[in-house]
Amino acid sequence: MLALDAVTKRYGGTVAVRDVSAEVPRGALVTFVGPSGCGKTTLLRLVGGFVEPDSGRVILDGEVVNRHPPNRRATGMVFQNYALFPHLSVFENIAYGLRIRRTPADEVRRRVMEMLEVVQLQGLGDRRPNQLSGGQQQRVALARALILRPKVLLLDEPLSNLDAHLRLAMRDELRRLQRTLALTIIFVTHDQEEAMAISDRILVMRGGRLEQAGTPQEIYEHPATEFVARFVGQANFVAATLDRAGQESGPSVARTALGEFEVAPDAGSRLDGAAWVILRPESIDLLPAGAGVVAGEVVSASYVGAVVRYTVRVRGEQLLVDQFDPQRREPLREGAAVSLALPRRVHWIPRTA
Amino acid sequence: MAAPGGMSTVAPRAAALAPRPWDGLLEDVRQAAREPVTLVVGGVLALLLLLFVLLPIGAVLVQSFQTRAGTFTLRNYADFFAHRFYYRALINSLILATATTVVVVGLGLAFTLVSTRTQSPLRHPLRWLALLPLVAPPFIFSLSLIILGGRRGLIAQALGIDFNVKGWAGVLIAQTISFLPLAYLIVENVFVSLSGTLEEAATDLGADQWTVLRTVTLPLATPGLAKAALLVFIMSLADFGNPMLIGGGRGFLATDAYLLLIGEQNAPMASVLAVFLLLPALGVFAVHHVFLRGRAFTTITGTPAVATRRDLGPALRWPLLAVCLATGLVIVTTFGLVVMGAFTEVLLIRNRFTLEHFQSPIGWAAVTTSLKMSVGAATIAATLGLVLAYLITRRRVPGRTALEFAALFGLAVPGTVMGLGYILLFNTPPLVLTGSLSILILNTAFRELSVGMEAGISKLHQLDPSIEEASRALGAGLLATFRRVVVPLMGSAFVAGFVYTFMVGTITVSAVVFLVAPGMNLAAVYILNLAETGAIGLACALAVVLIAIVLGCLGLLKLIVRRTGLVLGGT
Repeated sequence: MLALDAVTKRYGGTVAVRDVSAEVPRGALVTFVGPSGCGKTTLLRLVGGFVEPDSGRVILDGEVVNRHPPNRRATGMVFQNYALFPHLSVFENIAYGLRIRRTPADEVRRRVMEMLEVVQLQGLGDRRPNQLSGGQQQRVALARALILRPKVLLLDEPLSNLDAHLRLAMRDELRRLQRTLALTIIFVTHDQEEAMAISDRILVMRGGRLEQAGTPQEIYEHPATEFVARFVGQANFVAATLDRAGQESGPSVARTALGEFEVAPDAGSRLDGAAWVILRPESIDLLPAGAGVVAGEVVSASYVGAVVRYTVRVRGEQLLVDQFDPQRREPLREGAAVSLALPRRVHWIPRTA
Repeated sequence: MAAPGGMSTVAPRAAALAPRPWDGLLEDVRQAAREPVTLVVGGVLALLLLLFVLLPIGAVLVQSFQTRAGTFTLRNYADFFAHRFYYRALINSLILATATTVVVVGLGLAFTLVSTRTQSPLRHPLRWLALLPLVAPPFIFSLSLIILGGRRGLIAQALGIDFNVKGWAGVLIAQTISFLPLAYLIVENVFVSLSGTLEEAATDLGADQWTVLRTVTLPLATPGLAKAALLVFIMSLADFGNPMLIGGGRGFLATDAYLLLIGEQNAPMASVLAVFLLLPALGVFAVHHVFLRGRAFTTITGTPAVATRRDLGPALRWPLLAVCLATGLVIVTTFGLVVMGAFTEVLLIRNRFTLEHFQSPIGWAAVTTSLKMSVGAATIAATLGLVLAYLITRRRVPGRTALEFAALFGLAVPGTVMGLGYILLFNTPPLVLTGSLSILILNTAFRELSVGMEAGISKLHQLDPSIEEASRALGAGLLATFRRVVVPLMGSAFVAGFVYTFMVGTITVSAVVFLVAPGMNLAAVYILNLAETGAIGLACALAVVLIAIVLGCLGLLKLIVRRTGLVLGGT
C-alpha cells in the first residue's frame, strides 16, 4: 500500500530523516515510535505531503507521490492537537473535505451523519469544537479524515492530549475501528507501551534513522540494539563472550560473570565474540538464599503496586529483578541475602567498544 | 531466532550533513516554486512596498546629494553645517528630544510606581488621567497651551503680566503630555510582568523599600525603560504639529524641512534635514527589530506571578503622588480648555455658549476628506497587512524577512521623510499623484501597513498551523484554504488593523501636511492652519470632532483586543 524507499530529509544542517526504507501493508496498523526528535513526525509528514523528501521515494499504491501536495494525496491526517476548524460546527468540520470536492449537499448530509454514528457523536453535529471534550474532539478529527476514505490514515500522537483513562479507551476504540473498517494506519507516538499495545508492526526510530522494524513481540524479545532494548521496557545488559565453536549447527554458548547462557549463533560472524546478553527483569526469578543458581544481595527496592522492582548485586553486577504480586510475599530489605534463577536461553546483541 | 547482527544501519554521509548558509534560501525557492500563487502575490506586494515605502525614502536620500539641476554634490551637507540657520534645527531637535525623553520616562515611571506599588485610592483615577491624552490628536495640547499661556492667553490676562509659553517650555510640555501614555503603558507593562516574588525575596533578606527599588526593581525594569526612552526620543524628533504650533519660531528638523520645501522650494536642503531625521529613526529601528527581536514575547506571554501588592512607604509615596497629581491637573486643564474653546464664542473675550464653531462648511469638508482618506487607507492597510502577515508567517516566500522589514519601515520612518519622499517621487512622471486624494490614501496606508500586519501575525501565532494543514490534507488547495479557513479566522485582526489605521488617518499630520492640496485639506492639517491664524474656536471645535472619532475607534479596538487577545503593534 505504502512504501518508503531510502527517504532522506534535511532541515538546514540537521538530518531529520536519514535513508529510511519501510513498507506499510494494506490493512495494517504500523507505528513509528521513538524519543522526541527522532524523526518520526517528519516521516509522517513526508507521507502526508507536508514535507518533500530531499532524496528517496514515497510510493503510495504503486505511484511515486514525492511532489504531490497534501491536497492531491489520498492520505488522511489526524493532528496531535486535532486541528479542528474553530469557526465551523462539528458537522461542517467533518463535511469540509466533501465540500471542497463539491459533493452534492444530500450526499454530504448522508455521509456526515453516517460518520457521526461511526465515531459515536450522534446529535453533536451543531456544536462548535470548543464545546466538546478532548475525547469528542478527537473523534471529530478522526471522522473528518475518515469520511474521505483515505488509502492511508496518518495519526500524529493522537492520544497524547487525553488523560490516562480516556487514552486507554480511545486506543481500544481506534483498534476496533481499524479492524472493522479495514483501515491502513500509520500511527506516531513516543510512548512505547502504546506502540506495543496497538500495532501490527513497529518501526523504532532514533536520530532520524530506522533502528529496527518488526512486530511488537520481535522488538521486545529480540531487540537489535542496546537502544531498542532500553527503549522498550527495562533490560539488564550483561557482558558476554560468545563461544564461536560449533556455531554452524544449533545453539551456541555465551559466557558471562553470571555463568553460561544458551544463545542463537552469530550468523554474521563479523565479531570477535564480544556481546551483551539481555536479561529482562521479569524473566529473572527472585528466590530465598540458597534456592537459586547465583547468590546475591538486595541493594534497593521500589514498590510500584503490581510489582516490586529490586536492584540485586550479583558477582559485581547490578541486576533489576521484578517480583510480581508483592502482596503474597514478605518485602525484602536492603542487604537481604537472596538468590536468583536465570533464564537458560537469552537474547544477545553485539558489544562494541 | 533472528540474527540481530544482521540488522544493519547505514553509515552517516558526512558530506551531506554540513550546513550550508544558502540551504534555507534554496529550500524556500524550491517550496515557493511549488506554489506559483504565493510567488505572484509576494512579488506584487514586494513591488508595492518598494514603490510606496522604500523608493520615497531613497528619493529623499538621493535628493540630499543632488543640486537643483540634478547633479551629484556634497555641497548641501557642507551648507548645512556651515550655516547656523540650518544646523540649529538639528541641535534644537536633539535637545528637545532628550529633554522630552527624560521628563516623559521619569513621569511614566512615577505613574507606574503609583499605580503598581502603592495602595493609594488615587491610583485608578491617576492611571486613567495618564492615558487620557491617547484619545486626542497629539497637537491639541499645543492648541490648548496657546489658549492658556499665549501672549494674550489666560495667564497673561488674568495676572496682567507679559507671559508667553511659546518656545522651549511650550513644546516640552505639549510633547510631554502627548507621549506620556505610550511611555507609561510600556513601563507599567514591564513592572506588572516583573515577578513580585523577587522583591519579596529582597525584603526577606533585609532590604528596605528604597533599597529594593534601587537594587532589584529598577535594574530589572531597565530594558523596558530603555525601550520606552528610545520610542519617545524618536517620536519627539519626528513630531511636527507641536513644534509648528508652539515652537515660537525656533527651528526644528521636521518643521524646518517642511518650511524649506513649501516656503523656499529648497528641496535639496529639506532633504538634508530629513536625512538627519531618518538616521536616528533607522538606528532605533535596528535596535528594536534586529537586536531586541523576539525578546518582547517573553513579557507578553509571561503570566504575572502571584504576590501581595507592595507599598513603597510614605517617604516615596507622597512625593510621587504630588508629581502625578500635578501632571494630571495639566492634562485635565488642556482637555477642558479645548472643549470650552469649542463651545464659546471667543474664549476669554465673549464667553458665551455657542455652536457656531461646529457650523463651518470648510471644517466639515475637511472632516469629510479625512474620513474618506482614512477609510481608503484603512482598507488598503488592513488587507495588505493581512496578506503580508500570512505570507510572512505561513508561506516560505523567499525574502519574507525583507518584506516584513519594508512594511515596518513605513511606520518607523518619520512622517516628514515619507511626506517629502512622496512629493519628490510622485510629482513628476512616470507616476504623478500629487494633488489627489489617492496620494494621501497611499501615504497613510503604507505608513500604517505594519499595524495591520502585526495584528495579523499576532493572530496567526495564536492559530495552530496544523489547522491549515488539516484543510490541505482534506483536499483544499492554497487559495481555498486561505478563503475558507484563514480569512474567517483572521477577521478580528483585519478589523483591528482597519480601525487602527482609520483612527491614525484622521489625526496624522507630519507626512500628509506635504501632500494636501487646495480643496483637499484634511481636518488635522486644517486645525493646524486655524490655530496658526488664531481661529481658536474653530480649531477647538474640529479637535473635539476628532477626539470623538478617536474615542469611538479606541472603544472598538479595546473591544476587539479583549474579545480576541490580539497583540497590536507598538509593544
